[in-house]
Amino acid sequence: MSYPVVDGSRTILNFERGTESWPLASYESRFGYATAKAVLKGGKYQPAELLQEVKDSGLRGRGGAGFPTGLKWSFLPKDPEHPVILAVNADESEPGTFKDRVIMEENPHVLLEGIVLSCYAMGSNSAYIYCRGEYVPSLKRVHAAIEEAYAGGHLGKDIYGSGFDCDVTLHSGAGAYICGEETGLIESLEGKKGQPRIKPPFPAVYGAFGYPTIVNNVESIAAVTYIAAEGGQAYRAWGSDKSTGTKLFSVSGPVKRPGVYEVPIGTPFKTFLEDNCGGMLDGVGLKALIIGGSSVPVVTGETALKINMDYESCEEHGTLLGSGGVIVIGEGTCMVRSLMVMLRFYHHESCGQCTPCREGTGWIERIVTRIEHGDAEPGDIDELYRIADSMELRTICTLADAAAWPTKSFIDVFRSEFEAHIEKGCCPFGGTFPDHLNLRGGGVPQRRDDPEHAFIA
Amino acid sequence: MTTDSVTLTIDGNSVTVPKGTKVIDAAREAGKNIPHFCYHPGLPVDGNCRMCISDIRTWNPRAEKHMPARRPAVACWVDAEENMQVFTDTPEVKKARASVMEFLLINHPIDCPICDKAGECMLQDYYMLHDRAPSKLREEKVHKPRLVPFGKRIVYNGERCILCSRCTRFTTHVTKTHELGIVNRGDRAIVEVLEGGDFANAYTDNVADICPVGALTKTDFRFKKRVWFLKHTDSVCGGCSRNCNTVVDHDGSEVIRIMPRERAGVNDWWMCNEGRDLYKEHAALARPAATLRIDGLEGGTASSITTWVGEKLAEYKKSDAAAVLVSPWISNEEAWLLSFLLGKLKIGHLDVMTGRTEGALPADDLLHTDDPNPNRAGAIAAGIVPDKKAGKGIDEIKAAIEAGEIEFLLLWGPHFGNDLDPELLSKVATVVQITDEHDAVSDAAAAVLPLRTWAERDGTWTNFEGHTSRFRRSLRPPAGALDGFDLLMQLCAAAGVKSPAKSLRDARKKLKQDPDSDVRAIVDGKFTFPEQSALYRHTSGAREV
Ligand SMILES: Cc1cc2nc3c(=O)[nH]c(=O)nc-3n(C[C@H](O)[C@H](O)[C@H](O)COP(=O)(O)O)c2cc1C
Ligand code: SF4
Ligand code: SF4
Ligand code: SF4
Ligand code: FES
Repeated sequence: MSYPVVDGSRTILNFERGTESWPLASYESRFGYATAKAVLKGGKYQPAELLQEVKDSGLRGRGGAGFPTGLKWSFLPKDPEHPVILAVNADESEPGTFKDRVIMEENPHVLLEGIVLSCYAMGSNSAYIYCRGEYVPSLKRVHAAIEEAYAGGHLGKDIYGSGFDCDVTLHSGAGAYICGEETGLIESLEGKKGQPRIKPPFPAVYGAFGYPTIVNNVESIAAVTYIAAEGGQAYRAWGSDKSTGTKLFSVSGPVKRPGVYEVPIGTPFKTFLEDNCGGMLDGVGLKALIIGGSSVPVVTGETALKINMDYESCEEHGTLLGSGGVIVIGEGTCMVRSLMVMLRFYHHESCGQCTPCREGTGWIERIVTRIEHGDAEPGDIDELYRIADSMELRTICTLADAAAWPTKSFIDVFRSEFEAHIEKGCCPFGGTFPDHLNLRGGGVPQRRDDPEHAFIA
Repeated sequence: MTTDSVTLTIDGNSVTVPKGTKVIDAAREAGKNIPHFCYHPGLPVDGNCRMCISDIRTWNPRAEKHMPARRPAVACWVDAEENMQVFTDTPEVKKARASVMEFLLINHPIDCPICDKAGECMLQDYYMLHDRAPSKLREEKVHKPRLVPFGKRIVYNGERCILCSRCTRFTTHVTKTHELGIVNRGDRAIVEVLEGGDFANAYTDNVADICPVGALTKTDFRFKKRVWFLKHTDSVCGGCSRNCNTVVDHDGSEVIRIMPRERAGVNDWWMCNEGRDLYKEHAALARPAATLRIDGLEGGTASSITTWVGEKLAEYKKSDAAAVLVSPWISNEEAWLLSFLLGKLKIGHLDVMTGRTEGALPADDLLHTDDPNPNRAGAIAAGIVPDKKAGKGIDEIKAAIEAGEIEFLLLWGPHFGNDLDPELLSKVATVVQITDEHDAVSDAAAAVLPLRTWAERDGTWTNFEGHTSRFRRSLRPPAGALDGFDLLMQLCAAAGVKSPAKSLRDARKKLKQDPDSDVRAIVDGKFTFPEQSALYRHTSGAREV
């Protein structure tokens, strides 16, 4: 038996939808832990060889920055004085991004197996999963899966008699976006207030509790399971030279079937929208697209249809693949209002250490709010742009940039809408979102009522 | 050049600094003050204000060129490296700085007219230097709590606070008492006394000194005086044998506040609350008057009494019936001249007294020592010790008084009550007291001469670790109060001993050339008490009293 891939590209979500995919027995029926056994016990790879496979696979971090995973691991000190720690970033809080929760709720063991394999490759014996606090179903499922894995001998001391130990600790966050930033996560894990650290030193040198630490996104680590099973080259069967493998996209907005999809990286957005998401809701045109979570620049609907969903193509079209949080924006949506709600988020979530971010996020939110309410002057748009510009690249972490980029891109792409607000002295869209965004009955499929179940289209 | 140092350029000027030096400090070495708020040399770096952003370029040997940082770096965080290029004044850097200023000011209340920090506020100073832009904020400012007591001595104003975390780092890393923390996120963040805590450690006032703005003010100074009306005089705290270097802020006749002055190896940047309050004790001092209670000679002026005391001393030359006890508040120069005079007169019963005991805090790890007197070490080093052959120390002198063997007792300086009760003193025929404080002894002594206090005269003290610090006159002395050193020169003259120094200044020169290396070391400030030395034992012995 080999690693099952469903629908030609589902390596992480490789199960029948709607089935009980999360228990250990179900996972084992899908080649579960066979790779870990082959590697740890069967001697399939030495740690350095597995690290090389991950490098060869071309896997890039799925948390947003797209940093090559194998390369990151190779920054660990060669003969570390202290134990190495793997911290799995499951804090998923970026607006528009909800892919990791599906992995954790529907296939938690693929993450755990990925953890064991990653730890083996990087010479670590302890991993933490830092999970967003509001993700109660995820926390429950992962917790149960960890217990099953310990009981089944897949985690703990001397796994499969191989002499390799791997302990996994599940840590719940307390609802702060900033704890998803890797050093904010580390501080929080240490029991401190979640505030990013200045880099360098990078976590690979000085991380949690002062130990060398690798922080990786849930999806990145889950992808390692497939790579270890089938080899780095097999992963390259999807995507292009610089963007390899498959990627999970979480789609929200007025499409027929919003949800989480795993598709080959580089899939044209047009195809993705039509085939996977079932197209736009009837009668709603595609106005704009935010493809990688709220922090990446917005593009027009027209541009969106030209994008292939990989790192290069996104950059070519003036945006970023980010975390794969696809926010589809329909005709009739006020872009000023959209920016306003996004900035409310960044203002709320700034940790408040750095002057430009602490003061700037609130400032730009207030200006955009005034523009939305028509209480602004023509100069305010340039002023807004200037302030966003001066927040950029001047802070400890990139949250300030993440607030500045969308602000600038919304103005760049939809300046006329800002101007219309000011000219009219009110919101031309009536100061509200269109009905198709009314989640309480605007024809958008609802999340299942059972909170135990994540919503997968 | 050694491997322990690195050479870099700051705006084109080359400077060599030890490895591990922060760029901001290297720049200071090169004469450039990079504007900063959160950075403080006495605290771990936090790098949050972003004011010190600079163009820092590291040398890349492979590419053979200087590489600018991808994200502009902050000079307070980055270590100086070999062949680094730092630019602190480019248009880009200035723009970044001006924008930080702008961000800091948008929500700042700018209530300088009623802010105690005005005049010594970093925000004000940098505004004048860098931004000077009118505020662009049309929006309502963020409101925060404004009159929050942090313990009894500090008041917090959240709206003025720029969240630089200096105060919280002080309580975390310097006092290690952890009372203060920043709570809430983003622009709702404020400093708070953490739950269950009371901001009552012995060093709380330092947070108001290091607060770059007027967010932390001292209850003792609030609304008392605009800082630009203050005169500043370098001084030293006598509150304990640490000798924290201070600045006395005064208006010529009254001390308004006492602030710490940086002195590496003594108090670094800090001082304790008790030391700051000493000026109140000083203001409340009952000052003695020149008095002579000798039948037939009552009254007299300070100078006639001085002559009388000098002649009396000379009468006891080589006598076993005279003794001298000195308070550990005497200055080094005075101690040196007094010990010289007594040496010439061969009066060997001489010792330093316990001195002040009230207000003694327990010794702690930071500054405060267990001896609440400034100059025991210096007095001893300068020669206030019993004569090696036949001299009596304090306990023997007391026994001799008890036995009625002492006829003449000279007491120099304040705080004698702790060693000598009036009943014991009544057994001495002639008690002469020279002091800045009127006490029970002054009521009975045969002669009293009023001295100037530490705030009214010049001198040096030497701390328990051998570091010497100089205090200068900050206040006008009250009428009649005598300068200790001048008085000693007059005593020499009256006793027929030629003073080895013509003035205090001259004394400092002579101290430097003294044959005794301990005495010379006083001036260099390099004096150390080896654990085993007789002097050290003597000091600790005295402290046990
Ligand atoms: C404000 C902020 C929030 C972030 N939140 C997350 C998050 O929720 N999940 C995540 O995986 N990465 C998040 N990141 C990115 C992480 O810092 C880090 O790059 C990532 O976890 C690395 O994993 P990867 O290399 O596997 O992508 C965030 C970054 C920033 C600046
Ligand atoms: S950029 Fe914002 S969120 Fe990031 S460390 Fe600075 S203040 Fe905190
Ligand atoms: S109170 Fe002062 S020292 Fe403390 S964080 Fe605020 S500005 Fe900084
Ligand atoms: S530690 Fe001693 S010398 Fe320093 S301020 Fe306090 S009392 Fe004065
Ligand atoms: S002084 Fe360097 S960031 Fe504040």
